[in-house]
Amino acid sequence: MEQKKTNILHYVILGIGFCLIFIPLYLTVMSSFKETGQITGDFFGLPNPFTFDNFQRLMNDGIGQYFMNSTVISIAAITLITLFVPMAAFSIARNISNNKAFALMYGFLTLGIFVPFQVIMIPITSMMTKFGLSNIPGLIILYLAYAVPQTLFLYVGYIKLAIPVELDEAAAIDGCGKFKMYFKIAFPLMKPMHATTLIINGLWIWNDFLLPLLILNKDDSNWTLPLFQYNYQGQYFSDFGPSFASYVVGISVILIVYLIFQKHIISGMTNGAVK
Amino acid sequence: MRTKKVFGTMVVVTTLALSLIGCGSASSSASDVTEIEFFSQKKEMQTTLNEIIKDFEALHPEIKVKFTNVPDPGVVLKTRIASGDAPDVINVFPQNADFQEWAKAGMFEDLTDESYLSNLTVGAAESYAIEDKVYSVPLTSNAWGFFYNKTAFEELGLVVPRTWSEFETLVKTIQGTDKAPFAASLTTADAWTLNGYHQLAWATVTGGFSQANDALVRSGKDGISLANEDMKQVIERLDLLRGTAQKNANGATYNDAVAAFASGNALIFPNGTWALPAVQSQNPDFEIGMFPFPGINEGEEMTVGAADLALSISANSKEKEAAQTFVEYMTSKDAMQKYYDVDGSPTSVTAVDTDGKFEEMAGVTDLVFTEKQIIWLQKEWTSEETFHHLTVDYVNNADQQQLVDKLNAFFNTMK
Amino acid sequence: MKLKEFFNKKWAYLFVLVPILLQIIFFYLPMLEGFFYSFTDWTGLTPNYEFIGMTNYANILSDQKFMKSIGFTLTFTTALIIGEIVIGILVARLLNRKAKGVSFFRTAYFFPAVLSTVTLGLIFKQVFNYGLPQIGELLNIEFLQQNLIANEQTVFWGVLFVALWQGVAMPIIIFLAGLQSIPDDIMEAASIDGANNRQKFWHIELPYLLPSLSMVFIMALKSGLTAFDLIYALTGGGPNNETTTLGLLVYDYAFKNNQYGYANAIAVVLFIIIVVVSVIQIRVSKRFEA
Repeated sequence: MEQKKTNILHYVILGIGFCLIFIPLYLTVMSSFKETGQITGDFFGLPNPFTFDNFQRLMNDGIGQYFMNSTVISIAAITLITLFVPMAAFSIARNISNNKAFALMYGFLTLGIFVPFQVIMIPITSMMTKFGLSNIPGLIILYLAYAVPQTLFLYVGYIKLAIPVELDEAAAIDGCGKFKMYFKIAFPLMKPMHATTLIINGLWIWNDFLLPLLILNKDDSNWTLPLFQYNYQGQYFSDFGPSFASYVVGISVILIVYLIFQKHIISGMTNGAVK
Repeated sequence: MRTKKVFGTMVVVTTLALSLIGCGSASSSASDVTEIEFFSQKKEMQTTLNEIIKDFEALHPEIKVKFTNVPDPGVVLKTRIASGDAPDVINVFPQNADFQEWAKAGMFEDLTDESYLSNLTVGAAESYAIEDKVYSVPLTSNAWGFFYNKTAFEELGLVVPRTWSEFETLVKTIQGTDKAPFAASLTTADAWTLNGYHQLAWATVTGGFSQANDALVRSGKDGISLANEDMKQVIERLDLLRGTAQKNANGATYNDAVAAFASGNALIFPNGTWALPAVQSQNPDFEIGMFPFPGINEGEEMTVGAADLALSISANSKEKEAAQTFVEYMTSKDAMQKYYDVDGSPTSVTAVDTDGKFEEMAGVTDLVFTEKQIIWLQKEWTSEETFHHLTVDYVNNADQQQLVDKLNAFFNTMK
Repeated sequence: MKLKEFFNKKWAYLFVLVPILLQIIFFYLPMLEGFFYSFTDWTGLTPNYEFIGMTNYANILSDQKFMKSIGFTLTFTTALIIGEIVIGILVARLLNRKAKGVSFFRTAYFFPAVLSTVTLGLIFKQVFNYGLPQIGELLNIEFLQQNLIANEQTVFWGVLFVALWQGVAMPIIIFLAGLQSIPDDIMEAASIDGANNRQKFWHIELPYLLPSLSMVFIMALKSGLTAFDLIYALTGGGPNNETTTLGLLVYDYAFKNNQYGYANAIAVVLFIIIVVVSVIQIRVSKRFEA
């Protein structure tokens, strides 16, 4: 009896939480079917008239291209992050306790975590221009660079806990070089952490506005989805209809990706034994 | 094992995708066509400007104009110029500190002797000259004032105020009805909407542009004080906004203020000529009018405004000739008639036919290019943002001492 | 063969090479450049500037906005860390049950993480401006009838609410993973031994959650100290600079007020504070490990 009561209580709490989450989603979706005038004048009402024009507008304005750009940038950046960062983390995790140089490197690489990007905004923009990197490859490199501190921190902590040194030794006895050991044994074992950093970095890169604005502003065929979305908003006049429609498109993609990977992510994270 | 497969596929896809992008950008290098970049800060005019560019390219097939239109153009322009990467033709506002600093540092082409300046109202370009040299071609001017609900005014028997005290009475009368006097957005993010109000308060009280700046930016360190008679009167004017705007105006965005006015709930909308398209997009069912900021006595009313669409040419441009051709075209009737018919801001291009158009804003736009229009006071400041913020902060919290302290802190950095 | 030997000897250095280079070029060099400009009066607009020694640093001391901003950033960060950990664990425990519909809630609770902050700002501005006041009027609660993010006294809580609304999604997932790593038999054994809910939490679940906890702690600390987008979209730092974070302050000085040299001096001070805090944090956590 007691158990049943607490169960109902849990559902009630979860339900309230769900409402809190659901309302903004509902408002976003509703707004995407309204005309701009109604969004400004009557934000909470039902769409009247109900219109698909906003989505039509997105197609006419060539959302496909921006969508492609964002996809390419996100996939490329995440691939590079997953290639380079765990590698460095593995090396640091293995050597940090017996080699001062690696302890220093660890500090050096993670210090950037807490520094607001605005601090280096101007120097970085002029640097990218001088290197001729104000383009998509340049942006991908920047994402890789700025993902390092936090991602590295997460991997180092995980490797220390979940991948015992004994594995290295066993591999060495079998005649396995460090490279082979890393790619064949250690890297696949980090799967839960790959999943975690993939979500964290993926969400950040997919939604990021400031870096693309600073690096890709010259040629609008290079724009990412957030730049395209934001371009409907001006200081004096904002075209909210297409803006909200474009948010719905952006959100749907991530949700689909999340739904596909959800099982792997949660089970992956738990299988990896957060010891 | 599966992780590796997925990862391998990702690498292949990435390489492929990157090579695709590479191909895309390489193909755009045609031989005998010069390309210039036109950087615009008038997002709401994007469509019209695109049409004008198409006309231009049809007329000059040897020139291709790359039209750059980004979100947050002010910040982008700053970083690009700081990086030595200025666009060829730039829409930059000549009354602002950025422009003046850039011009003094030789970032812009000297346009003083260009023949196309004669297409503009006499003195229009010269009023923004720096050390007697023209670096900017101002094509339109914005103007700040009060939009009002003409229909409701007539129904309630209200008339447009000619003096400050009439304005105060008017606001009181509206408060007696079920309508709010003002539609305002008193948030930090949209604090710019009241910039004109605060500046015109100073200008009408002190007597004009230079007198206002004498009191603000040339009054010596900590020279602004509560004991000052002008300061008292300015506070009186700011006080008129307190508690007289629509409900929850302290959290309203610019769009909320537009909606409050367009729905007929608030009768006066303090803002600039740029706001008309936003109001009209709400399909208001009443007639709109506009009146300027009333002075102490009749005939002392004023508006504030300055160049809006104004073009400069980068001194580092590699295609100056093409850039000049484009700017010259922009001073023609062909280009600007199209622009004016959509935008409605007073234009300095004399050939443009403006008769009988945009009557709703005439109350204010008629003053433009006369002695009753002052240029934005920030022409003599190094920045303006903090001024916007302290204005709404005062209207929200009525802390007079804090207002004076903030004004001093802001202007001390320039003294 | 030689090459392979070389790799096997020096692998540790090869592995860290790329990230080290990237950090030097894209983080430390710009920081150094900023450090240099912090001794100048550069506006950020033209190539001209003059050296003014320590003037910028002296000015920081008397800058009310800076003090206010430090205060807000620190309280906001602390509240964010506490909120993300407490709510994260509570919800994760609710979701860690084998009951009907729980998997649906698991998906739903992740949703806030996918919204971009720009969208979030737009929507919540409307909710605070129209939605909540309407509810306040219906229920006749005076407190709710005003706009909570427009009022100096309440804006902190309004902003914190939105930040947590989005911020707890990831911690929930992380804590959930931590909870699911607890072997079932341990929990069952505890139940048989008659452990109550509280005892189970402190003695069994919490130890398993420690790794997740340190992860969430660092992530929340980062998002608090570097907060920019959300505040920019929601309040712009207002009202009356009540919600100006350090990132926003630097941005305003550099890009809106044309005081680039001064903005960099603030950045340098900020960087030094962060280094000191990080060193202390590492020392303290080392002591715990030992």
